[in-house]
Amino acid sequence: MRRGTIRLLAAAAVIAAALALAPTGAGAAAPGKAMIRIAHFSPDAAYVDVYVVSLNRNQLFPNVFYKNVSAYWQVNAGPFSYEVRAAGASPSSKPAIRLTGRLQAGHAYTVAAVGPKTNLRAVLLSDDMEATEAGRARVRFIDAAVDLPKVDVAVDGRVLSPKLSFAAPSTYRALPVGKLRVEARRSGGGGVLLRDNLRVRAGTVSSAVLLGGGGQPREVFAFSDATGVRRMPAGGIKTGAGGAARAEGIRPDLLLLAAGLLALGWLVTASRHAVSPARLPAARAHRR
Amino acid sequence: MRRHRPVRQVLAAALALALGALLGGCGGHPAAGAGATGPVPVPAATADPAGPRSGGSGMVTPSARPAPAPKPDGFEVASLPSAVRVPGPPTPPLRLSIPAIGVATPLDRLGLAADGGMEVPGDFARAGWFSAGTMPGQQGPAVIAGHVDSKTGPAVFYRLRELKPGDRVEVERADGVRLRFAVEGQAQYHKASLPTEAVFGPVPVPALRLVTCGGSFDHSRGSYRDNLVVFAHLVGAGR
Repeated sequence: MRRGTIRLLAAAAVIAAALALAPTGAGAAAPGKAMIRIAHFSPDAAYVDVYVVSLNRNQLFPNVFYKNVSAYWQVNAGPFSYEVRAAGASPSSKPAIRLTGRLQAGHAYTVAAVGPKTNLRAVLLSDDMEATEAGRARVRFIDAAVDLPKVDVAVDGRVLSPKLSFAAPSTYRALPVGKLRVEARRSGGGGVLLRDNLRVRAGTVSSAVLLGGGGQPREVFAFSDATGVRRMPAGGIKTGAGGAARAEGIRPDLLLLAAGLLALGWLVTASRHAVSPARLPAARAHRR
Repeated sequence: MRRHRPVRQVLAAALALALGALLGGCGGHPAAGAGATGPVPVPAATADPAGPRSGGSGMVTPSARPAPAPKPDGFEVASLPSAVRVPGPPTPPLRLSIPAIGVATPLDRLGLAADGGMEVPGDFARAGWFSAGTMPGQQGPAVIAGHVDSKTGPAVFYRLRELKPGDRVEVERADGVRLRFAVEGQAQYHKASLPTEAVFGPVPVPALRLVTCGGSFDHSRGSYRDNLVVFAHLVGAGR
């Protein structure tokens, strides 16, 4: 590679670093990292071994059971795979289910196994961390009950998520907080097939999974995706009186950006000189 | 031309050093594992005792005994990641200590001010916990604010900007439980456009945000133009 090209790349890297330092709104995951957790909702698959392969980790979680939901952990964003085998099965055996996907940096995901053991399926859910309205909660519904037809999910008597299909999550919906009455009704005006209570707090984002069949009772199984404050304060926070303020008021990130741009300008000029055809013979002559 | 090259290299080195110093000194952003090679485990809370809960049945008893785990080459074998266990019921915090920057302070309680903003500590030598928000150790963002300076000199969070990823922050609760947090990184935001969601918005783990002022001081308004936010998450708890 020509030296000029290398310099240009170096300068680009400096600028990229400066830009990367500009504040972003993300506070949940580190740059280049995604958050992932696994869940097991197959009622009759007994114990399973779950294999998760991401860019930086190969992980095996043995003996995962019905209604296990892990905590989130961080992995490098990018391609990943998820495989489920019967507990104790050889790692080289054909997995019962395999899912591959791509994890985006700064996002959180749940990978779940659903369905009866004879027809296991994997779902990759993108989990939401958006703020709730003040004093309210956000909930999504997922039908993982193996013995339900298409259902309408009603909360406190009002249909919120109509025509919910198996393993297809609803969007997150804003809900009042407290104890809510959840019903799954046969879609298109049928009777109530499942009735349960759901308790949600202000500022929380959660998933409510309809479960049942395969010898297990029908229920709403809820777990938390994320929690924020109930009511966000407005505006900046006044934590300084200026007694130790530096004389000049330059934002360090802007200063860094300026330095990076200067470096780019300087290096571009330098590299132009380095590859200037007119100068090349002279440089060679000098070297000899 | 060739004569100039060493000069350029010296300049380049100097520039790199200057940039390095700036990078180290100024507010980056949640830069946690950006440069780290290893995995950054984030203990998360999904089993928040105060969180949403179905009214349905309890846990199912496994019908078969667990099988011995296979041992595939190159795989870490572990039980499912679980939340950091915090003993006792959620309890308000009393004290904050950050050994890396010599902070040891009692915590006042801060609420919402009349203008809808967050209250700040009345004492420049003490930090305060936003009690209208999350309790430290619970899933969500617990927010602690402190002044960077008083009218006469440095205040409790003057050195907050020196915190680096991995630095420890300890919060002691009223019941004696100590919560240990690890710094992920920091960010500086213009106050006029403070992304409140980045500080107070939903997060999947028990998190901590330390907030103070930063940037330049606006003498006409008597306030700093920016807020500096240090992001941390829970890594341990005990008595």
